[in-house]
Amino acid sequence: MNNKLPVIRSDDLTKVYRSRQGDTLALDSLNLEVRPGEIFGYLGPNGAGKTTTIRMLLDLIRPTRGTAEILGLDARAESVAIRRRIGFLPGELSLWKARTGRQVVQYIASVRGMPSTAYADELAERLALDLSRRVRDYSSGNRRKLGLVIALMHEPELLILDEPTNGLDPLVQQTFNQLMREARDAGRTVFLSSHLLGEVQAICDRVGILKDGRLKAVETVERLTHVDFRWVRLQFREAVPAATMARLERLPGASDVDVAHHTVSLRLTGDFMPLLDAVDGLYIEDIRVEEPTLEEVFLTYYGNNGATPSRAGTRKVMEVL
Amino acid sequence: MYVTVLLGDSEMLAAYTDMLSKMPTGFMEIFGLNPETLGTVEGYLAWAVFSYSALIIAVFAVIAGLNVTANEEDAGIMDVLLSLPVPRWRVVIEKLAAYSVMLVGIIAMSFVALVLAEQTTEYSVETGLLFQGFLNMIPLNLFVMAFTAFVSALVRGRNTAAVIAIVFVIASYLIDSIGGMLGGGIADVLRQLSIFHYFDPEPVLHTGLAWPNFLGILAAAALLLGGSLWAFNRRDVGL
Repeated sequence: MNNKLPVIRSDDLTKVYRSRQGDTLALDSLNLEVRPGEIFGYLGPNGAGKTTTIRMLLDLIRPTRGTAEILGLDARAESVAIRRRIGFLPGELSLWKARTGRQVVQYIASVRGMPSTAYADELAERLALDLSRRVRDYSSGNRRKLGLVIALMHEPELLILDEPTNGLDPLVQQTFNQLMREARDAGRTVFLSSHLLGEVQAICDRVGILKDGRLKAVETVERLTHVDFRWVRLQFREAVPAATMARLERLPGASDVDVAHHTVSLRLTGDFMPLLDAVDGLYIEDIRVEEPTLEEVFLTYYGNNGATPSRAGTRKVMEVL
Repeated sequence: MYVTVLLGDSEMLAAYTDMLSKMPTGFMEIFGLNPETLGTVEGYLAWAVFSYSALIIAVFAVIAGLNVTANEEDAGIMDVLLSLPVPRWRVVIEKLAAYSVMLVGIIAMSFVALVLAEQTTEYSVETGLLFQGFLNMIPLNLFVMAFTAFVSALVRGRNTAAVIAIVFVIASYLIDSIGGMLGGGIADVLRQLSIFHYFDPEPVLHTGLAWPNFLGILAAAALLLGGSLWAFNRRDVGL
């Protein structure tokens, strides 16, 4: 395919679920482009519309309005051709419980017309998955691994993964991250949904942030983590005088100013020089500067109706997420 | 076993007929017994073998119909299946075809079992007519399977589909039986609505298949298959 064409493109993609209880707008006018060869993180809390988007891309559910293209093909009219070229891991994976992992792999391989399952064996080995056991005997983590094997084993051009690391232990998550990077290095595209910001931060090139069915922002992870504020902690030799505290609290660009013993913590937007001027005359033992985490960046786009995120507020919101 | 035990000799059949003939006529008809032909081997076979076997096999047909889409959709497996390069119509067609083969196999085995059982009795029914009796069961059960698949494709929920299919089979059976018992007027009109009205096993054992009924039920099953494809193809899956 043309390398300049987006791998995924949606235009006004909208889904309304109708029921006797009333209509629910699950996804509202999604306009999204995913570029070839990138790992795109689709981020949002449960109920934001991530799974709805993915199910429409796969033609499992039909849009109320709008269109989607995958690999340059219409997601509805050419869904079979699309599915030949993609790998999919659903958020809630169910498989034939009486079959062994190997039987499932062989069945999927036969439907896909694959001559060999050697790569599936290799993937299972890397993920430490025993394919000889029955699906019903797998833990949820092992079922997830089997889902990853099924999604990856035909080396598809596009991977669509719904909450892929749910239930995986940290070691396997590392292997998963490595597999995703290998896929990207091989020129494939990954579209993964997650509510785990750290996961997205670790492997994604770009992130789309979804809330209440609306796409709030699409940015590179690098740019998102370089927003114009950071957390600064100044440690002084002596106690901070009240006059200095007052200057710091009035300092333009400073917020969340907090003092504990000889230490002042604050959120700083803009240059450092006004901060150093404000503490002029005090002996600084240590300065620590932290970039905002993606969670905090997330909140600037996402929460509190635009209010500035505080450390405590971030933790609280992330617990809710 | 039924056939071997009850049709072992003419005395057994006579005793059996005598016992059943003491039942109220209406009661007999609800259970598919024809008081006029019960004492004949054909009448007995029509009731004890074909009517009841058709009902029992209809249970399989309902289960098979649910297996076409509803069970895997309910279990979430359909998401995996439809993420493969398989069109929805193929899922429906291939599963219906597979279960149709199983259905025909079950009916064929029942035929062989009856023919073998018949060798141990003093009775004989022409094998060709017996064969046609079993053949007559195929469209009915294909219809029940296709109806269940259609309802599953339409209403989505497995339990709802199962209840509708079971109620349909039982209601059809009762409408035909009770309609026959009451006779005339609206009862006859209602019977026309029952699939069991067109599956009448007893005449088949005397005169062979009623081809219009046979083909009519098959055509109705084919229509329901088309309806299943249409309904499953147009709706959201797995919600």
